[in-house]
Amino acid sequence: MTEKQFEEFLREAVEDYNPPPEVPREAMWARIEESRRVSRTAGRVVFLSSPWVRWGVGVAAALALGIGIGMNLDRSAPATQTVALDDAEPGVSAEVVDSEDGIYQLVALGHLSRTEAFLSMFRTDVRAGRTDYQIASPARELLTTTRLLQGSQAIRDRRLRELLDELELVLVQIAQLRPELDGEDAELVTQAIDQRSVLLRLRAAADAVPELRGVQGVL
Amino acid sequence: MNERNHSSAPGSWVDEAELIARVRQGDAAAERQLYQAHVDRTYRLAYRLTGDEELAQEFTQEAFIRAFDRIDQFRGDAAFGTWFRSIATSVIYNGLRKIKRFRKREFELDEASSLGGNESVAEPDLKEKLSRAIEDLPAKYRMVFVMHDVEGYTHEEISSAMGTQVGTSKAQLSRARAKLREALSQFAGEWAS
Repeated sequence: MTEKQFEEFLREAVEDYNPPPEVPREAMWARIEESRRVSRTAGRVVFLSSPWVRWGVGVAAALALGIGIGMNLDRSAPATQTVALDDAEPGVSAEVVDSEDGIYQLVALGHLSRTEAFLSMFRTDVRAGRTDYQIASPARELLTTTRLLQGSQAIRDRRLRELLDELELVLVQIAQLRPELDGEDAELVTQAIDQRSVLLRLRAAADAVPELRGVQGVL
Repeated sequence: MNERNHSSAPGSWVDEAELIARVRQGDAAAERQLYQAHVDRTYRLAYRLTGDEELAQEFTQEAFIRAFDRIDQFRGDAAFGTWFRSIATSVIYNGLRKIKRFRKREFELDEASSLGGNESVAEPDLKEKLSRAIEDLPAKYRMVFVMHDVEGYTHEEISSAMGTQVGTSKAQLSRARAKLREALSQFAGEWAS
């Protein structure tokens, strides 16, 4: 068989090589649009090169609020966080933030929502072969907030406690990722996220309280 | 089509420069128009190279998100399609390399666990042999081969997307074909002659 004949054979044979299905335009666009919406919102607040650096800023704000809540969980102190939370999200009902339990729940669910978005971005990055090691910083800060919430006396829900324990494990692994370790460790973390259905459980938790739907990104 | 000045949204001609300007201002409708013009070809390439719907979707999405995030870096020296194609190719190429490493490790684990087994493996047919041979190509050769021989990209398009010279693209295609011929000859003698 000559070179030319082989080329012709190849051209015909490869037509069946991974034939693409119909392009899922709408499904992909919905996810791109959501990512862009988050990006635009973050971009209005602070203009930094890496999305993970922007995460760090957001998480730092959450951490500050988390510390405030931790202090407020001292039972002798009056519940005075309503003003700050009202400033952050006018749509959240007053009843939710009136009690200490409500404040804890609001902060916890806001934290779960942010962590869900963070882990989704992380998973997408790893699958696309892009691991930005600046993620270690927001991961550490999310980890700190997770531990604050774990240590709070206001935690009552067993499932929430288990979910926070699960998040702690995942965030510890992400916080320890280093460039010299290559992307395989990041792959292992995403596998752990999938195997433990962490994202599904986070979404379920975020949907659990109707008043808090849509809170994502507020903190 | 004059790719330099226009982008082909389905059923209409849209001025590309105006679209880009609107994207820079955060206009989601303009982003959607650019997406419509380039999504099919991007997804097709991603799918051909991955053979996996979820990965093809993730690579395609990532390419658009990255392009929109970096739209300020697009200077307009070339068509948006050319610039975007280089981003999409980079996302797919880097993703494939990661996946290849991951799958290789999985394969090695599978091989280790099946040592000592006596299962007889059916001889794969020609299409399967060819698919395996394509997947075994070095990543760059595979990109060039699939882009050119499967998806019909020109060497000019490939070289601008991969950041190489046209001659490099041609040489890589030639080497890819030679490797395929060699790989297939191991299964059937007639390909060697």
